[in-house]
Amino acid sequence: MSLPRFEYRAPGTLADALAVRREAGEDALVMAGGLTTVILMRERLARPRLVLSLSEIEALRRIEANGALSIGAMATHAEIVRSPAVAAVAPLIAEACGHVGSPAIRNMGTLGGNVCHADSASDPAPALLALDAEAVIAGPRGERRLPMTGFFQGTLTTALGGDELLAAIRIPRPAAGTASRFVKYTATTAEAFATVTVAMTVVKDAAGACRSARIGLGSVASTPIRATAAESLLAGRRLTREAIDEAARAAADATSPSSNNQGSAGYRREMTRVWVRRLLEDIAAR
Amino acid sequence: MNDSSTSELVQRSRAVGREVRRGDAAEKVTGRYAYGMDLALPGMLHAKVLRSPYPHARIVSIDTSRARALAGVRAVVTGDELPWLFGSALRDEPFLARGRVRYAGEPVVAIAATTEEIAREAIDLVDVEYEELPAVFDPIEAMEPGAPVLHPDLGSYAMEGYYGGVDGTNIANHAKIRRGDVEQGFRDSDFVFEDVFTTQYVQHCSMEAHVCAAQVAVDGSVTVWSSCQSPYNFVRDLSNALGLPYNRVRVIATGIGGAFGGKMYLRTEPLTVALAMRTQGRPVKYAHTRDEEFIGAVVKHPAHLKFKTGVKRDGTIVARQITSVFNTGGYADAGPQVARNSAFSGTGPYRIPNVRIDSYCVYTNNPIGGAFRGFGVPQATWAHESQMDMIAHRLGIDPVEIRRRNLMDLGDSTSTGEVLVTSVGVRQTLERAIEASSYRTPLAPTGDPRVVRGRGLATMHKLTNSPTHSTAFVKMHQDGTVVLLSSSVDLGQGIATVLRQIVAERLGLALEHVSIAPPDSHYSPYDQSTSGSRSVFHMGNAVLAACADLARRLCAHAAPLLGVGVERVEYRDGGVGVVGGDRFLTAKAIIEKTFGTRGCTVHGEGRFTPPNTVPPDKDTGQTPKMSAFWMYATHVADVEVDLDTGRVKVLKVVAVHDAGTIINPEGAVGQVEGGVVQGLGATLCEEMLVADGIVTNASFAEYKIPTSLDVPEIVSLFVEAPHAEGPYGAKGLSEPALAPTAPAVANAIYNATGARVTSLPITPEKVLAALAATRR
Amino acid sequence: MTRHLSMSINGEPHEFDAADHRTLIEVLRDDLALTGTKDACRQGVCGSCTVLVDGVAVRSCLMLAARCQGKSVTTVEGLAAGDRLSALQQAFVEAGAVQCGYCTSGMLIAATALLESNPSPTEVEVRAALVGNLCRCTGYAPIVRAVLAASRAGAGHPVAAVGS
Ligand SMILES: Cc1cc2nc3c(=O)[nH]c(=O)nc-3n(C[C@H](O)[C@H](O)[C@H](O)COP(=O)(O)OP(=O)(O)OC[C@H]3O[C@@H](n4cnc5c(N)ncnc54)[C@H](O)[C@@H]3O)c2cc1C
Ligand code: FES
Ligand code: FES
Repeated sequence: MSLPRFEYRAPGTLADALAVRREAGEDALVMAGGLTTVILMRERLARPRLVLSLSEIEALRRIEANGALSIGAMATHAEIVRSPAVAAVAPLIAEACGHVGSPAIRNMGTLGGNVCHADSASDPAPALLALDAEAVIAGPRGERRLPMTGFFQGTLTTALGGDELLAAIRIPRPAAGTASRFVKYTATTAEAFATVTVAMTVVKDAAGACRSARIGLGSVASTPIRATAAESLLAGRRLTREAIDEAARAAADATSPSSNNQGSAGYRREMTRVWVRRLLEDIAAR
Repeated sequence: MNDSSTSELVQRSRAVGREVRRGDAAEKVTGRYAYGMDLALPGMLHAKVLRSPYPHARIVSIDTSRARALAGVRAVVTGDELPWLFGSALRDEPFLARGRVRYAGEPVVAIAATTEEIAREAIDLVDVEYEELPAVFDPIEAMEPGAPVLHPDLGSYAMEGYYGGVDGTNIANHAKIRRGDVEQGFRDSDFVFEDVFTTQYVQHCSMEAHVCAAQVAVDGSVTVWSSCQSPYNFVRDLSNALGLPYNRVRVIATGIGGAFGGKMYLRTEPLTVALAMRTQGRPVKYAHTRDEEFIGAVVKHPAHLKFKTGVKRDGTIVARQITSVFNTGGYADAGPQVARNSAFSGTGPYRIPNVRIDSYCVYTNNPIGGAFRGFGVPQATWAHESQMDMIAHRLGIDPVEIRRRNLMDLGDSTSTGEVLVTSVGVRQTLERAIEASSYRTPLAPTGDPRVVRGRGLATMHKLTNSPTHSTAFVKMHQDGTVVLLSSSVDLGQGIATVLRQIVAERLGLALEHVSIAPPDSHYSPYDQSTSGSRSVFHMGNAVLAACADLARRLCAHAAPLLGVGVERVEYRDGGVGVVGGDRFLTAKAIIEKTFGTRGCTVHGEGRFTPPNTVPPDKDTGQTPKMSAFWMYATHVADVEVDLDTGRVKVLKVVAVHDAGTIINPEGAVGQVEGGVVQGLGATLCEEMLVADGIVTNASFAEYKIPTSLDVPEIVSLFVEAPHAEGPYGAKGLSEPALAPTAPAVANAIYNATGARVTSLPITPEKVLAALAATRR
Repeated sequence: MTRHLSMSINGEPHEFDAADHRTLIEVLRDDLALTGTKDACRQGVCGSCTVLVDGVAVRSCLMLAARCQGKSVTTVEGLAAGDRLSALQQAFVEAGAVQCGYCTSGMLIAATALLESNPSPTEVEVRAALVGNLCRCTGYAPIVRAVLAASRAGAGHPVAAVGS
């Protein structure tokens, strides 16, 4: 089935892209990897006059680590998986991107497109939440930064203004002694959206107690979420069986899932508990 | 039972039983093979369809004026203009909805335009006003008095002989088996167990969606190109619907990207023909999108199966009563056949003297249930093999022993009263599966107490629809090479290669000297359909007969050339020789000497009808010979269950089949491996979700079929109990490959955990619920 | 809007006009009659439409043709050298990896991309590389066997893997 007609523009710089975006306003659809955007147009859920492709802006593909890790919005999942800079600073995000769809999807889909689509079932998003990442946003008035926690606003909605573009994701270098874990659990097949995705970072002190923890959850609320109550329960505690069980229950309580082919709401909540518990147990065991 | 002459034949053979590559593989790996989707005809228009959003509604009005006005639109048609009904067992379906829609997704308006884009745009310009009607979604509710009746005209529909709807109800067919005295059987039993099993909606998910094209000549003759399983079903059903003589309906089977039963009967074709009647000779092509495959093609019937089984303390089955309900949706399609066929396998491959089966095919306001690999037998197998294990455990008998005690052997009779006289390899499949799976050697534990392992088995039998006919022509060119004309369709299962092997074998030719023509009802002769695992047996025999006929004609031509009477010559080694002598002429020499070197062809024709098969009595299901052959299989599954998540991982499946003699080993293994994986999808992860008549997961993103990472090791083995009437002893194979998988997995889960799941698919949630039930 | 595009397809330079909203699969199948590339979902899930763009496996159903300006595209038609099959294609024929064949083009492209980057994959690596390519007929085992056989046959660099 063909797409509705539109005009295609692929400027070579971010400044030009921002100009097109400002000028076209609501009539323009920003395209990154194009996966979701093409599907939305094919289903006639989007009928833009103009498609603004970011594919020709080299600067947006860059992945760099000087201090913090910066991943350009147009870096593909596959590039992130392969990147030595990512492996050195935040392998958790590489692991998460490695679970997105299938190889060709990872070759086409971008991290920027993934988070801007703000699908609750995003696999990288929980990892970004657990890594305390920030969105680097370019707009007519320059650049601003926003913690990912504030970036996801509601079902398929972000904090991006109509004249802004996501330029990069910035991930701070984790503190020494940080353990991180990721799991994408699907109830059906190996290529499916998650029943639940759990990503966590736990900073342990010398005695092995949890100094602080960050837990990101996907597919269990209208957006990717953090399990803040569970994080607070863990802070300053030894990772005992009770602490882990309490935190796992608190994480499950933080969810507000809906039901679909990957599981009922109740099942997703229960799987949140199981997988938060399992990942914490695994961290405690090392 | 080992028919030594057959196996000798295979040993001497050149082609049969040998590893032979499929003939179309090179075309397919180079992307050159032409499928229905690739069809491009001069002047071709493209069709799109507006479908009903409501499961049950009256059509108040349709306004197509804006669509008609759009530039590029060539034809717009609605049901009001199309008085015809089509169907196979039961002619109940209009070309486009007339006055009322009976399921969400029913075609209401069809439009042909110069491009697909314009057709689609035009669809958006159609306005339809509906008035919703009370709907019924549960087939059991639909059988109750007072339920909305979907087809008030049921009694007036044309019906094929042994089917019967119940006028004034939603029962499209009621199939019965009556054997012995069940009530007495239950009284004679030590225990009587009653259990209910259910199955879900499964879509075929052929990678190529339904597609067809149609063209209408000035005189009204219709040509249809279709990616279909059965050109002759289509000729019959279209001719019957349109009142056209058969010779004016031509159906050409295109290359086809999978079918699995889903392309057996008309689906996209009627409305496409209706459009083509309005385009002054321009052909119209209509291809389903993937979501139309889910909502508007056909699906495997969900079934509700109540099994009441009486047994002796030692596990001997004395009596069984089954009430099964098949949800066939808005129109019958293959539903009557599916529900009836399921009944014939209700007992499983077991001796049961007292049987009473009532199998209902019921209309509801849901998507249409159609034929699906196995034709109702997978549903029956799910129930009888799950219950077999449940009974074994209740009685404290080993699951293998209880089966051994009840399995049928030569001389036993089926629930339909047929005494089995040849090729009953079921016991061998069981024993071989036990041996090959090291059934008695316990699985190594995982080391994680939350992840446990278990093993389960299931066995099955299935008939093929009988009596049905196949015919074939073989045409020999003057150089002695042969073209086979047959209407068996190669759906990917490899029948074209198998038939070429049979010709090569019978005529003593090299395989590359045997070609096969594409099925086309104007050229290739009658075949009932490519379904029911019937092709190797039926068409194989027809091809053998055609080869014999060709050989006879060559002998007649050769005898005078060899200077002897025709009774003194024989066909051998690609030519004709004098019996007991050296004098020999090649086929080429015979044709050229007879007709001159400018050439001629010699042909042979063959027909096969399985001897003595008789349709069952409508009221009792009894017949002296139900089926041309019975197929058998036993599967053993090893599984791992995560007790926290309920997720089941299948580690290994050993699948042993009795398909008679195997003609193409590679193809046979391929059928089993593919079938098992399709079976595992239906067991664990596939379910088309339908909420109040609306499909909620009509895409591959949301309806998940197994991927390369989801499949276990599969060991497929054959016991080859040769069939006395089969070509080289062959029977059939494709359908049984997926039937025992589901109960084998369920039985393995029970073995691992003590939890029993009785409804398909076995989702992790159901496993958790069943685990919780064991703790109560 | 319609624009003039030039790209190399299966090693041959192509120049044509295409409207901006056309996807690569439409241009390949409808305009250039390269119908070897199949589609079975148009949502990125089934993999039947997989092609290589600059050597990278992508979904042609979700790729705008305009984005391929100046790039090199390889479809299944470009895998054989004339009528000589690549080692991978040959392995598919010999391993019984083809039944209906509708998934085959996408499988071959995905496997070609795998063997380019990893000439001797393990079975698990092969399965992971094909996870986005659905097959309803074979159960995957013969396809995996074919890819492994081709890798052993030294098909890490099949004849025409990336066009010219
Ligand atoms: C078959 C399939 C399977 C998938 N499986 C998974 C999975 O398992 N897990 C998972 O997490 N994801 C999955 N995805 C989603 C995928 O990861 C992509 O991330 C997603 O499709 C969007 O990425 P894209 O680069 O294609 O963005 P696009 O589709 O181009 O854009 C997505 C949205 O973001 C906007 N946008 C993009 N970039 C910017 C920017 N820089 N600034 C402002 N707005 C922008 C667009 O306007 C659009 O609304 C799957 C997708 C498909 C098609
Ligand atoms: S058609 Fe492109 S992935 Fe299915
Ligand atoms: S061979 Fe038919 S889908 Fe793979």
